[in-house]
Amino acid sequence: MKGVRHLGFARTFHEECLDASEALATRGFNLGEGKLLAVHPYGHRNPFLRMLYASAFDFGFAMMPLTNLEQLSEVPAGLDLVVHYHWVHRIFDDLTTASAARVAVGQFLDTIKNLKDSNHSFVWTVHNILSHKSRFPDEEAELRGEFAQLVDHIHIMNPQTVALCEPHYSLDLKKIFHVPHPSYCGVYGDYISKEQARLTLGLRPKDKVFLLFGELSPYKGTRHFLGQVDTLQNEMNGKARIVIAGQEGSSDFMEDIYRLTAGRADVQLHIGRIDDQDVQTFFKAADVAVCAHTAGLNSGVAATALTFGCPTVMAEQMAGTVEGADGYISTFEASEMETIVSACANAFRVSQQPDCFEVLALWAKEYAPAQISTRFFEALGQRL
Amino acid sequence: MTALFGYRDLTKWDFNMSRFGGFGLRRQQQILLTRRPVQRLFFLGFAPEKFLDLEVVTSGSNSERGVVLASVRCFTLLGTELLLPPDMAQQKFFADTLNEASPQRLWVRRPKRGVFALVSLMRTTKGKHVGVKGRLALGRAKTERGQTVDVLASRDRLALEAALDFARVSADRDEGRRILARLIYLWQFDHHRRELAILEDVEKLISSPIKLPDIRQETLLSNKTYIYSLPISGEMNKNVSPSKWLLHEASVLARCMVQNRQGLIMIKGQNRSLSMLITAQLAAEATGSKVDANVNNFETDISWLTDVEAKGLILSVG
Repeated sequence: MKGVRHLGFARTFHEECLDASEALATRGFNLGEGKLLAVHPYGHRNPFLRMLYASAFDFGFAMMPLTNLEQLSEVPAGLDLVVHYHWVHRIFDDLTTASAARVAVGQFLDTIKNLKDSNHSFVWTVHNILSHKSRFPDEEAELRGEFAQLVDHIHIMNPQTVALCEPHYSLDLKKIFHVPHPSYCGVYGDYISKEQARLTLGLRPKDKVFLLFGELSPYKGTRHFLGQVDTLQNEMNGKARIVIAGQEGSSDFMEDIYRLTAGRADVQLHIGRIDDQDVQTFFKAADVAVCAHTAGLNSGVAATALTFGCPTVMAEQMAGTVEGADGYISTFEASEMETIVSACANAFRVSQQPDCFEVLALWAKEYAPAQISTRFFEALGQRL
Repeated sequence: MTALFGYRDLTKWDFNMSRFGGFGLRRQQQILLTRRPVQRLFFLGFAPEKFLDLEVVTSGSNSERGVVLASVRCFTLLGTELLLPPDMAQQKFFADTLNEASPQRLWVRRPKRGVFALVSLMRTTKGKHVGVKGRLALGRAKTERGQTVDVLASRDRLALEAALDFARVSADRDEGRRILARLIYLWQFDHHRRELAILEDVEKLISSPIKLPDIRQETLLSNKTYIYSLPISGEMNKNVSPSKWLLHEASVLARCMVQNRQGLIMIKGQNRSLSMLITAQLAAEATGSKVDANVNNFETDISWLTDVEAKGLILSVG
């Protein structure tokens, strides 16, 4: 495991549990009142988990990343522990064949059943219908369906999650609680001006800038979107500029991207990991953020864009992931990619409204990580 | 960057000999290492531990950490490779400036059925020249436990850790702190840092005894007894600062007593550890109950404590 916890003084999970118990007691949650929240898998680069747990201690929860499920055997007796599971498909990470995936599903579910016998509560956040790069869709659907039956509570961010997952697996409505995706208010650097951002990226003040942000991967719909750029230019009187920024994807996919953008002066590529302090440069420079995914449940990019005052285009089914910003999300039909052009044009018109930035700034504060985290722990606390 | 006079480049002959584990068979070596390793096969004999003393120098103006990697592999008589602990399989050396070089010790602990050891030496960095000086012959180790005056000045990790074991057994915290400081300075290992934290925690336990928040209740009955025969939250973990474990265990015990309205803790059974005795006293103090135990009959299961200090700790908590 990486991140700041790994630097300096490494502790055993056992000791971390004792420290968490002491920290909870100091906060007024004595033994039997406070709970340890063991989170797995924990991504250190993705700020989402830190955002979701921002208010944990206010509600008597101490969050601790769990490197592997075996660590649960180290929990000292007398402490109440809740396991919060996130990206369940990670059990397939190192597997290459469907038969190995089937075995892994069986072993994983057996482990969870055994752990449930030790009275640990399990919560699951459903981030995707199936993982974006799913290599074993049938096995993954089975895993998710069985796992959904084993866990005690299911957190969803998109209200349409149950319906969207239904063709693949079922989620028990009684177990579900809905807390939307937080905004990224206070998460990334946010201090440079729009003019400086555009100057930095070589964009002109009157350009109509559409940003596609995040890891370059087939599921993001970038190729489909690039197929619509000519139509978009007609709609925007030739003033549209497309900025694609994010980490490099697989080589065959990147070849497609390079081929589709090679002859276009109106498309800029910024390939590579974007530093947290540079995120603002892209979103401040953009008029509209485009989340061109044709499948999925949630979008952190959309929440980031809205936080920076940038109206967003996304597929109809994903719009529910962001609550309270209805007028600033323009939707398209995932099955009809050409509808993304009118969605982009509409989002651009919204971005030109004089109060757009202020309204979205208020939205970002209302849905700031601490606020959403409070809602999450209120909902979870009532269920435990 | 200063030139390393007297250190020769490795030749094709050296590498050819190295392929059969025959590098440096005769006389003392004074060579410039490359990133391609040179290997030497040794017969281990019957001594449990053997060593190789090497001087490592750099052409840079300051000493550098970990620039030479010595890999050790051990084999049976029939050539089967044996699994070695990681700290012996790979040992890194400091490179000193030419005028400040002193021998550093490479340890080879003979594993069960181990007959041969293959030692390879290579540099790990590019740039400055790195030289090694020494006779490639294994010496037989003499145990020097407790002789920390010399050990403290050395970079011999095994010797330092042996001295640390000695200091721990005799609960000599001053010496332990000095040795751990040296070990942490040289190798920056977490397990050494953790042990230093434990040592400091024990010192704090002695100087300012811990206490649980008061949860006294009138309803506890002195004739209802809690038989405390085993720690409720599992045995005390040796890698955890004792005060953390004691406070947690005492909190759990106190909660049990309040729930069951028990006003007397009786320590019974085989396990009469110091940690359980202290835990019982902490819980009793917090709940206003009593402890029935022989305070003169316990086993010290907290390291870095003398028996006298352990007794003092019981009295101070009680």
